[in-house]
Amino acid sequence: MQHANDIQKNWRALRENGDPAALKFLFDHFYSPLFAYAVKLLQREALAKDALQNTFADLWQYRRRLSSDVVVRAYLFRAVRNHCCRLLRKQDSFVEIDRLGQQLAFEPEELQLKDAHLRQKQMVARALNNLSPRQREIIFLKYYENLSYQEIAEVIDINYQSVINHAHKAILKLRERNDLNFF
Amino acid sequence: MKLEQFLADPSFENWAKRSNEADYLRWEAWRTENPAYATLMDEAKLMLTGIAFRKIEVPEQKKQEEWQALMQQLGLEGREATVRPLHRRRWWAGAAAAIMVLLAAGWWLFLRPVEPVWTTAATGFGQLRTLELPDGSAATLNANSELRYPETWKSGQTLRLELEGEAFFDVRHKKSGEAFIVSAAGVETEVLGTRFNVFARRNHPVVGLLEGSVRLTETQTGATALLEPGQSAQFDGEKNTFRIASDRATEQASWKNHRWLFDNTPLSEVLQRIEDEFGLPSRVGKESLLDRRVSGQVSTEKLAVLLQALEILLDVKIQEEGGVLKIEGR
Repeated sequence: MQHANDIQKNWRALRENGDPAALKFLFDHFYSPLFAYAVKLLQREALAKDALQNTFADLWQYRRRLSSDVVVRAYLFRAVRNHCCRLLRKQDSFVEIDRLGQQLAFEPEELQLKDAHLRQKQMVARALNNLSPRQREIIFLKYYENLSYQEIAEVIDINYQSVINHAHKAILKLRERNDLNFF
Repeated sequence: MKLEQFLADPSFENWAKRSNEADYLRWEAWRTENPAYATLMDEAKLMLTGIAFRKIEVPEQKKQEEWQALMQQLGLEGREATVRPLHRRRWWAGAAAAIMVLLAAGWWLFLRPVEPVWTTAATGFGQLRTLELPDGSAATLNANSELRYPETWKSGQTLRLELEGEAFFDVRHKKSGEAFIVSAAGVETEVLGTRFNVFARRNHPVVGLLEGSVRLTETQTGATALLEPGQSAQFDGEKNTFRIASDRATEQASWKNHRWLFDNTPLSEVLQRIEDEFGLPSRVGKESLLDRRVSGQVSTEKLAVLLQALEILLDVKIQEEGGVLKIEGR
């Protein structure tokens, strides 16, 4: 829980004192998980880098407008998501926020399954990629990023009950596939 | 139980991930008793444990390059270097600072008051939770309740807990001098190895004792009472003494077995309890219904079953409309 305290402390130092060291702390702490999310949403590392630069630049520039009463992690994931959407829109003005994550896909190599052969991993990845984009994004945020369902609701801006319903349906769909005894 | 309730319960997550053996065994036992929920439990478990991914860390060097780029973009280069070189200060300032640090370290090591780190355990509506306290005693929290207690405890110390809501305590046998005190809405219950229930909602705590002995103290007036097994007590703010009732303690603590036991209990009390523990306020068709009395045992595991039982016991009709219970006489 020490981490949680440090995060809150640095969030406050950023808001109230404009302390660059606080920005550095949040940057170091969240860069990797946020980058992984941006890569998943955008499919391109160069673009994902830009999304993170923009996110942290905004965080600094608008620090006085930040709210004290947020779950910092959820706030940052949400901010990255918004910036990813903005970047996609620059390339194609018709991108809707709903289209974000359409491309989100899983690779067999990403999966960490006990005693599983590559073939099994391929089957699991294929099953995951057959889920709806929403479900895939929730699966990613839950199992890769370890966010709580409450945080996921904040990040993708739908209500908690819908997140649970999406996740439940996804799990049922994966379980239908009897050949996937990977749990 | 609904899927969301499983997901929201930290002890359930402990079962799913097997991260706490006591919770694991408790849920395994619950599962054996409630086989109808086995499938839903498995699904909820998958929703919590799911699939393991291989995580990718951005290499430190790349991260620092990105940080430099960000600083450049914001025009902040060099400003984040917060460590000032020491040689600008006079040498004695450094020495004085060093001595201050040593003094502070000495104070920290030997003289600082021991500030306990507090833990909070809480339950939502319709949820029970049993936890082990640092001294080995057990506390079962009723729905919509919160218990604060220090994370650590040393043999010989007093263990002080703060309660809002309702909880049942099974206190490990104490050596003399090891007090166990539950503080709730201005009433302190001090015990020696014992089993007792503290109800502390709406500022009128009721303490019921099942085994052993407890001493109650009202902190404002200093009034005290000694309870015997089976008795329950409530502080009377007008007379400034404790009112003691015999034979109510078992009834009062029945919630922890997912049951409510009623003995000539007025409907008004039952409805208050439903609001406290399930978060559903109620409205009655006729005021006089509130005086109807109910005796018997009802299961509280499912709200619908509880309401059905009450309909039969009280001969009323209960309907939920927009989060409010409407009660009509038949």
